[in-house]
Amino acid sequence: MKTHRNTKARFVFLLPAAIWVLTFTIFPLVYSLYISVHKVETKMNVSREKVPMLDASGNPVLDAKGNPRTKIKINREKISTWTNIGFTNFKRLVDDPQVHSAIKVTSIFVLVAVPSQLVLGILLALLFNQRLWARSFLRAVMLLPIFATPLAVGYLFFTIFYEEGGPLGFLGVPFLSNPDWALFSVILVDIWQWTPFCFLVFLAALQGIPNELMEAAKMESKSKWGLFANIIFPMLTPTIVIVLLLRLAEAIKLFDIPFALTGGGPGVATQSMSFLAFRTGLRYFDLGYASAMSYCLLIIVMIIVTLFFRKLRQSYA
Amino acid sequence: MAEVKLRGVKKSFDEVEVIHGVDLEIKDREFVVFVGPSGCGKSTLLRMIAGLEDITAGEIYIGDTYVNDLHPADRGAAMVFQSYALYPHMSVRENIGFGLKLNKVPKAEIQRKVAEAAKILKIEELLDRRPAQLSGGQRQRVAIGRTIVREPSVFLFDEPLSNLDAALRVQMRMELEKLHANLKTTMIYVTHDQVEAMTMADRIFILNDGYVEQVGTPLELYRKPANIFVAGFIGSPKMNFLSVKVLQIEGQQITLQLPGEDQMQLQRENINFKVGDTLTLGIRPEHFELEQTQGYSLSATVDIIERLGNETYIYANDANDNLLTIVGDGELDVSNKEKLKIHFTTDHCHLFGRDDQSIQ
Amino acid sequence: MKPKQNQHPLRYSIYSLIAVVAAMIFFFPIYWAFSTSLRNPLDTFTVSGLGIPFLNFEPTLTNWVDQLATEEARKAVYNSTVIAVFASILALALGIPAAYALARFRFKTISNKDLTIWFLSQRVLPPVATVVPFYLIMQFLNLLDTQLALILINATFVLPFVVVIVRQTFLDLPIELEEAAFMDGARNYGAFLRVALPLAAPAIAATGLIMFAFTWNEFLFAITLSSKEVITIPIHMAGAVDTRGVQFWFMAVRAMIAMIPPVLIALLAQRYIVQGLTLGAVKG
Repeated sequence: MKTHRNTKARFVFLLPAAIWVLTFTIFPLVYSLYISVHKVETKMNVSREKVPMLDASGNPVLDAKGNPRTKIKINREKISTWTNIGFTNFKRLVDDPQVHSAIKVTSIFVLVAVPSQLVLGILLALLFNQRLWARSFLRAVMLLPIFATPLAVGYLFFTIFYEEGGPLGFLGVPFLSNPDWALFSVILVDIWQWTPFCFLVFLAALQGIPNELMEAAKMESKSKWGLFANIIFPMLTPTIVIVLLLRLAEAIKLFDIPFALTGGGPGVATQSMSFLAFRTGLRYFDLGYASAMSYCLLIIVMIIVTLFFRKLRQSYA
Repeated sequence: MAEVKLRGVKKSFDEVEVIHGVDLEIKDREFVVFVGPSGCGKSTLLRMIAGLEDITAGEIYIGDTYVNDLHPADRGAAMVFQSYALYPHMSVRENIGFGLKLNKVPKAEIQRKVAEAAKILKIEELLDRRPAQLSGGQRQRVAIGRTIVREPSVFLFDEPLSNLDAALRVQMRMELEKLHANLKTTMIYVTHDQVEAMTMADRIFILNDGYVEQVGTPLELYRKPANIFVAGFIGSPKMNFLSVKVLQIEGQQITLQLPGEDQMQLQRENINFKVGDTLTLGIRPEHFELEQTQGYSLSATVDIIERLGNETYIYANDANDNLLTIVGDGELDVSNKEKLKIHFTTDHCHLFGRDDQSIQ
Repeated sequence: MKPKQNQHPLRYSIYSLIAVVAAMIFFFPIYWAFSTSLRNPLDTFTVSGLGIPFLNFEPTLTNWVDQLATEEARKAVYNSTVIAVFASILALALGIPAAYALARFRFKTISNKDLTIWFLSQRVLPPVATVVPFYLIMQFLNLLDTQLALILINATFVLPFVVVIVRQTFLDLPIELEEAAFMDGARNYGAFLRVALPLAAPAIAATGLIMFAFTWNEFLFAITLSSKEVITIPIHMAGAVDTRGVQFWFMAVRAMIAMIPPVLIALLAQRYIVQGLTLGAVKG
């Protein structure tokens, strides 16, 4: 049965994007798995050769005697050797103190930052759901951090946390020089950037609660707390779960803020898993090991994401 | 030139069958109304003819063309939607001319046809407005204008008047009738309003639960409803139904026990019941008389009186506490709790068997 | 739930005060960057109070002039703009038809719902997982340090957002409008191009802006795939540190240049942020 809903045309609409995603996401992920079971060694072969000098139009430049002038050209050639080493890279992960530290840093970050953002987001949403002076203006101001360039935010807070002469210098807190404080600072910056997002989503959810329901609930429950605990919170729960899972999946990718704010330091105090994988792969060019690391990160995210999509699938029904 | 034929047309939404094998033939230039309660499948059937819903089984022909596999664009039908579905981003002029533009009709001709349609529908001064700036009635006209210019072989109307107020509805009804008289094209009109159906249709198709219950001209349906559903659906106020017991059958002569003490006799050819069966007797409210006539009578106690001015609706309980509706004169002298004798003649009696079908 | 209309005046004042303080906290860092960017380098650490221009120090535009005069800064703005514009256009070009297909057609082998979720799931993957393979692929294709590489990759990463937001927009359009177009003689492409697309235009424009902001802000792939030619604004920012220690005044200017476009976009596209960032799970 052929109709306008299942004509061939539907593939013309869908396939370009589907093929694109397959090519640019699935293929690299599969390739990454291939890389992760290899030891990739990259050597730079530098050779020099004499080549004739050419002028702008491509003719040889002659010296006073009429001989072609030469210059020295440096050829840099990257030579990579790939050795299949099975799961060695994955085994290395288990004993690598850098990896342990990165997992610890990322875990602390996620476990402190994300709940803080959620709680602050809910509190702010409840506050902004009241009648307020200049409410929409204040609400608009609150949204500014959402799309602020994360790297710029990192550098910005670097100037704010600057211990000698920064605006918070009077507190005398070693924001960036003390390893514990440094991680806390990274967390603070992330809270600054992402609380507004949680706030915005929760405010939208709060405003979606039907007025009649609130009126009816007010008749029954006497205290404000009772109203929140018995009506508002249960109504918000699906949204809270979704925001929680989304923020978890995002927070685990932590990269830009420590890159700018602390450079992963002091030492490795703020070196997240993404940061470590990036450094390993693209600064030390241990590509196989970096791939193995990022694959583990991928698996962790996948677990969270699967939970998220189970929720999402319900909300689509 | 287009007749529309449906053969064994079925429709299922996810396993649930909503149209159970409809066969129907609509003649060229006929104005046909699909009527039925909401959810009866009338709109679905119309949308299947339009090509907007796929057909689970059966065949649909428009003219001589088998259209099952044709895109809606290729079926030569035009449609007026309940919501009017005017393109909000186009002016009235562009809305009406859109179909022509798609068919690559030269600009000058589009202009001419749009102007002509606007004249017929008296919307010439609205051509440069956007749909959002129009009233409900004006939108309705634009929606009709959009179909006229395409000169379709079949017009499809999906409850086009249901979003208009009562006065406007009556006016648009008449204009649609005029339009049909002028265009002489096949029109299929879907409504849940039996008044629209009765006033406009050449023939009415009554649908219920995905079945065609009866097909006929408005008066045929009024006079000879084929079953209890049709009898109850056509006519306003609704036909009264009484449970009657068969006391005696002598040839074609049947004696029935009316509520209370009275009995009555009826002639029927098709005796498919026996003594002791309970049948349903249907009498329209307008066929009850309060003044003495020949025929039979029922006693009832007045419960509610509604005075509409030109006529009076009386709701009264019969001996079995069954609520009867009686239509009387506007000035009728009747008071609440009054005991009435309601008279009727056998000419106006409809008898239905246990299968709800009419007994002739 | 709408805000209550009658409220105790005292409570109203207290709540308003808290809200003002909260807004100030979230605004302060941006303000601080603005303030620093207007200071004479010598004043950087010496201003008192909240660093209010004219009150606490004499503002100057030198930092801005100096920064914008450098070729590197102009190159960064140019590259970021080109990459963000083309990545957004590419993502829209691929994503809008797919969104329409998911909203309006029926797929059998894989259901529309699962296809949608498959598209979305691409978004939540950690980008670092594809950094190494992309680096090698781009190296192989000789595309390292080109705008094209970053356009392709950014388009990939923002594509799911386009699918989410635009799909929902199409779903929210009354389907009769497209059906009316069919009855008017339009085919699927006609109904899509002439009816659905123009009606979805505002949402598409907003989506385009959000995609622009995402791409503008992207750092990980930019630093991985570019070295000296295709410097984007975040890379340019990162460059403010190494050379002569930290130059706060330049850093502030660069941070402002980086943040102004996406922050404005956040305000413009407010309505679509909730839906977009929660991948359609919460409606704004």
